[in-house]
Amino acid sequence: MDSGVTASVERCIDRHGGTADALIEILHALQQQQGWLSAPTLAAVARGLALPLSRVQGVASFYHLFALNPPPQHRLGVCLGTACFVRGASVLQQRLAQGLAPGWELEQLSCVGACAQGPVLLVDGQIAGVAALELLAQAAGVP
Amino acid sequence: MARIRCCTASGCRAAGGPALQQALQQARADQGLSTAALTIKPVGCLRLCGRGPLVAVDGADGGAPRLYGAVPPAGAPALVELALAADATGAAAALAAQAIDGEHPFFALQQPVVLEGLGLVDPESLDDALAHGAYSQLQRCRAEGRPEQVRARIRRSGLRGRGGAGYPTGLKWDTVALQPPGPRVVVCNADEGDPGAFMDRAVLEGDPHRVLEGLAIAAFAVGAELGYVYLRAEYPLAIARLRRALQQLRQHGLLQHGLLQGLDLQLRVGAGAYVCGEETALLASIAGGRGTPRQRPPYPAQQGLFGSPTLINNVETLAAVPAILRRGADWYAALGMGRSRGTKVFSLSGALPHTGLVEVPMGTSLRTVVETMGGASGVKAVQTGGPAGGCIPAELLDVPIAYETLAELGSMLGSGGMVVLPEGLPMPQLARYFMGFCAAESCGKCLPCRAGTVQLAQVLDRFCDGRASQADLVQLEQLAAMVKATSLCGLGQGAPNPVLSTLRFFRHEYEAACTSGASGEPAR
Repeated sequence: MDSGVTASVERCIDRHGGTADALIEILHALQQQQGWLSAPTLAAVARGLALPLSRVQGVASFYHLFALNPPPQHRLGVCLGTACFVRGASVLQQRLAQGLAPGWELEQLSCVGACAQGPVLLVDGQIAGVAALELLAQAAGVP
Repeated sequence: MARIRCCTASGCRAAGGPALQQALQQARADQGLSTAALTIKPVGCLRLCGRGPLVAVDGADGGAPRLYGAVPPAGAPALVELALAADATGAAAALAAQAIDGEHPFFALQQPVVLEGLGLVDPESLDDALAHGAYSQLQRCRAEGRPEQVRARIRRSGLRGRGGAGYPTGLKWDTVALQPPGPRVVVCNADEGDPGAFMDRAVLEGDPHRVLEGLAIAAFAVGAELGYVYLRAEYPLAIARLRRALQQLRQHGLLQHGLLQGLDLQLRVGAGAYVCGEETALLASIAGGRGTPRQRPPYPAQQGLFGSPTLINNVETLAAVPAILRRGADWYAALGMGRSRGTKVFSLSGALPHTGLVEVPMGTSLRTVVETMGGASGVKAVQTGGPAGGCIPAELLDVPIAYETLAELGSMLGSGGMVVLPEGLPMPQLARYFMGFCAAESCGKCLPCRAGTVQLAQVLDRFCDGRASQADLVQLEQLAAMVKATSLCGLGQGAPNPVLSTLRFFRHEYEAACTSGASGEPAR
């Protein structure tokens, strides 16, 4: 077991009060720190909180925003909220899915709440307005 | 004093707000003006999100504020000029294309109660919030020292849950307060997951202290010493603003002694699960578990977080509380119609020119909101209530907006998402869209929802592709009825609604999608 992982996980657990009800907060903090939640990280969390690994794994896999695989270099998110859908987000998504530049990964997002701007794209988690669309398409290697 | 207010909510930020604000500061410096001579103030949502970035110019002459939208950074010097002298004709001409008519029905028909501080208060400043009256009602409640009186006022106001269910707020507060002695918890449900809804995001981003005051008043009214805000992770700016607001309360010592003494307030951030908007799932998530709902009773008001009686109110409900107490329950109850009192905030989006945030008295017709305020034309239907709601066809838009009236039409008031659907949108496709959402968000605990939503999506696929049969139509209706009747929580019970609602008003589109002659076995 990587003692570095264990130490940083333990520090994180301490910062959040060390109780099991903070599990989601702890996973958030660790994902922010490490980019994703690796198997050793989850195991260290389970040990640190004295929880069964199944409980930690169950929670981590339940929520869409916890990444159990290493993240891509860049994420291009397409909001699929109703307003974006009505304004052609699914067509946009299909077009983008045809080919992204290496290092980019396409993700589908549930409504990000910027409905008045739709269709909305997110580049590495940041909302990009329609104006940035052209630039984005270029960056993402879309013809 | 001359002042320019810049919207710093998510929408305007994405549209280039920060660059404009920077350009304004630069333009002010270039003119050799002090920050006192011209205030550039960051504020919350200025409503017409589709025209962002929005700025409001309060002239030195004290006239009505003038609103500008989609201003490029190059327009900053002209804005500064206008703020200093309202009669700067050159600047006014330069900004003519960006000027927004503040007298347009979109603004004129609004009645801000929940949103009264949005666009005026600096969302990152406690001092500014206090100057606008934040926490004054909490102070009054505490000074009067009579929780039962606060509950009576909320009861009399007729306020009902704005998250969608419409449960009378005062009654809920009473239920929690009157449980056997012991600790109580209050929770603000800020897990605004309905696609097409952004009211709560705007309130949290634009006036976070109002929500915290509402939560603190609720805590006082039911005798709770612990409060949580459960906020979805998809709203990073709202999270940052609320974190900062809580930090300010701690720094000023308001949580330790003073105003909020004896109340522990915590922020919990979700991790992307729509079902956590359901109250029992939300409590499971706050406790660090998988967000799966459980059977009720016991209701959270009896047995909720950590086994304690728990009051759960939505952001908008809590944000209405300080205004109700300040202006009086009777004033609030005088707004609205029937059993739906007060105002409701809607996020208006979709196929219409004026998209953004509106707050109108209950009883306002859907047509007024969508056509008069939103400027929509060629409307096919209006979708309300999110994935558990329905579509109201154009010919029924004169319906007054209220919990009961929209339910009668097979839709629901819901949390306040209002999406205008354009003429060309095939309804089976819309139903398929929502079903895909529900299938993806089903927590998997109960079979009808877990498997039923997937099956419904498959049947809907056949309608979307024009390869359905009459038997598919029968199966669609049977499945929808079964999932609605037998699912454990609101997600599953509501999932068939977009299907049932579009079948009710647009059945001919489903029938047209059935391949002629195919009437026997459904196509596989």
